Amino acid sequence: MQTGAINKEKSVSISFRGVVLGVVTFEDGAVVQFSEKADDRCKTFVNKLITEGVPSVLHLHDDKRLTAVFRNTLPHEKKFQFELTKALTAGGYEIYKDMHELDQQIKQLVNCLPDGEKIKKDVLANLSSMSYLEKTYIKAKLEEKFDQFLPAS
Amino acid sequence: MSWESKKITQAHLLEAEGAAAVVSPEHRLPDGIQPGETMLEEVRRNPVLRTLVLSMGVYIAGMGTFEGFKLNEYLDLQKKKGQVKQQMREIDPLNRVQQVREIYGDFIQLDFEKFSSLQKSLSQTEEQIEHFSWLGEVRKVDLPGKSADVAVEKAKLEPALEPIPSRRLDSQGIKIEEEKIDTTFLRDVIEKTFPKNWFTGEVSAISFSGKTQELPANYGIKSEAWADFNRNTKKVTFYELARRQRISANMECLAHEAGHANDWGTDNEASFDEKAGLLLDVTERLNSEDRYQSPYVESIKNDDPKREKYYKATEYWAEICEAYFRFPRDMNFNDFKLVSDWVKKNDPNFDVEKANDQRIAMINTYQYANRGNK
Repeated sequence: MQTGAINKEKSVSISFRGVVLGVVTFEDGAVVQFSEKADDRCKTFVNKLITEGVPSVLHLHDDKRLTAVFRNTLPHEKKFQFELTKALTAGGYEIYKDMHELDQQIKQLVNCLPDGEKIKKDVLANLSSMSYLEKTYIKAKLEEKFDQFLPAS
Repeated sequence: MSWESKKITQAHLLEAEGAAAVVSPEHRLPDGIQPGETMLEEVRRNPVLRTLVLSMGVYIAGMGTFEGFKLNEYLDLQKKKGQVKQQMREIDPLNRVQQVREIYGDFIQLDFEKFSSLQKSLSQTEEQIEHFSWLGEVRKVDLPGKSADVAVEKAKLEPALEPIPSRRLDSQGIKIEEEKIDTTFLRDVIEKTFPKNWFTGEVSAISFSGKTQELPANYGIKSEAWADFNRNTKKVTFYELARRQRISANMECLAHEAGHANDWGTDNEASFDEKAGLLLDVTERLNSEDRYQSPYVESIKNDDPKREKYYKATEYWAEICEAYFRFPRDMNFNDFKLVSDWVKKNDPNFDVEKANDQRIAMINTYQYANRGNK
């Protein structure tokens, strides 16, 4: 699950141990379709969530106390995508989102490095299998590296 | 009085020049003053004048001494103001509190005891200087005593625990059964799978109240409370709703609450500078384009925009803490680093992935073991 940018992806694929079990399609965060594969357990789990909603917590503030409140996020709500992917991750499923935009940004930065650089080869070879944490780490480090050479604005 | 001396001189001049044998009336000396007599001689000669001048002299000398003391006190106040400011600079070298106030306003009462005491002392001293009057009384200044200089050492108390009623699915994954998180298991999870001092010294108690906690009407949400964290007592209380939640969900809720117990407002082990720095770092993330866009954080609303922003920052921190203890690989590196750095301050060897795997395994084993007992 990518928790950095919500509601940008059109779909997320649900897998378990590398096997794709289903794909959920969204529009502006709300669910539109669930295409299930062969796994009944996953099908039951996801269908239950997209019918009844995803249990989620929100906090209410006053100056001294924070109160956690329980509510179901319903499939037509914009934040459903976020809550569903969170619930599926907590349920032990692997969630893959298309991180096309981030991948492009990293490639752009990496391509500025000389061809002989080992890091360039490594990043380009492993980018598709990297987690969101790893990708954002690489991006931050590359930006840091380039900032050293750029004149201060 | 000098004009009189001048008249005497003019009379003498007239006499010396022989211009007139008789001094005209306008040039005649006042009664009792002898020609050629100075004022000093007159004062010496006249007992009334002598007493008057002496009294005035005594009065002026007395006032001078009195004002001298007041000046001394005024200078003392200025010196003490400088000392207090110096101490504040030592605690907050980057003037972060000013930055925090610019963003969030004055409503935030950062619970940083020493700094708060210094701030109070500074404003008191400034007020005294401002109202310092040469005619008024100077009040005594209460400067920070030893109690403010010595960091308050919080007792590193283990939280008092109570069992939390929960539920779980039966072995077929169909029927919901009642279960409880017992205190031995809860303590084990806290000690083995969370960083050192994440609960110890930060949370005073984790308890269960059998009450159904309805929300006050002013929240505008019709719901019941699941759990709450009281910033004053540092107590996490689960309510009746917890009974209808799965063990894992209650543990996740607890992880979120623990994030609040370790933020800039409540953390007992961070310096003032570190706390203010954390709040500013979280604020920066909150304003970043690639922030953790929790719909819940984004949906927080308040009539006061500064308060709204502050509540968002508070929840942003708790949300990224929860993510750190659930799915760190899916976090943005900048968020991950914020939590990780904060955790590693007190527990440099903490391995989050290992700890999270262990927590999941412990919860599963606990549920499985208890199923066998039924």
